[in-house]
Amino acid sequence: MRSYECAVILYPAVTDDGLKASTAKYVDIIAGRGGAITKVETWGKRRLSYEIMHQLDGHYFFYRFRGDSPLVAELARQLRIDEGVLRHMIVRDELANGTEPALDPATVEPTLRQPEREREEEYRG
Amino acid sequence: MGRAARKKGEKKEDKGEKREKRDKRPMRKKKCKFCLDRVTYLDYKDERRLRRFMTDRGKITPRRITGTCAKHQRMLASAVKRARLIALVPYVREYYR
Repeated sequence: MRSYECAVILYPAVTDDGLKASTAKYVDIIAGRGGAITKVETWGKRRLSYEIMHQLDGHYFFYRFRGDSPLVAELARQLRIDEGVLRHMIVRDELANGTEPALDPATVEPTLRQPEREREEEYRG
Repeated sequence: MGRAARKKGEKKEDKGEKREKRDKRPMRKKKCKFCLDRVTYLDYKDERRLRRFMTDRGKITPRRITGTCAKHQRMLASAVKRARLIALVPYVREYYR
């Protein structure tokens, strides 16, 4: 098993319900194939640095998990099919040490982080 | 030529001499900023940090400008490329002329 981090950008038009459904879907895919989810994070709606499919914004999600290569292949396949996904990227999680506790897939909720706001606070402080 | 003008000229000459002397000394070697911070991994999500090592057009600043060591420059390059893929930083930023 290896640790991975998957970044997903969803269309800005996706509704709140759609976001929840999307998170549930990918958590299911990972957990259903022997993967262990260690963290789900969202940055909310954020401006893109450049247009993707004529969209200027996107909902950012980050999934950190452990799993085997067939799981990664399947996750990537599902992400490519998903029409709500603007872009995705799966990379090895080099910060993970492989012992992070696995979250319960039934209750996992994305934690909201706002790097931009944190940045502003840093400047003020 | 007025007195003021001559004075200015003299000053400039002085400065020129100083610069020549300075040029003969070897350039002070820049320290790799990441080595100073003991960075072992550069996160592609750390947009703010990456941007400090990019030009405003979006290019990765070369090592000879920033003084980054080879190891950290490699880390930086891959982090920037990842960040570009998920649109955290631009590939290019075109300016209107």
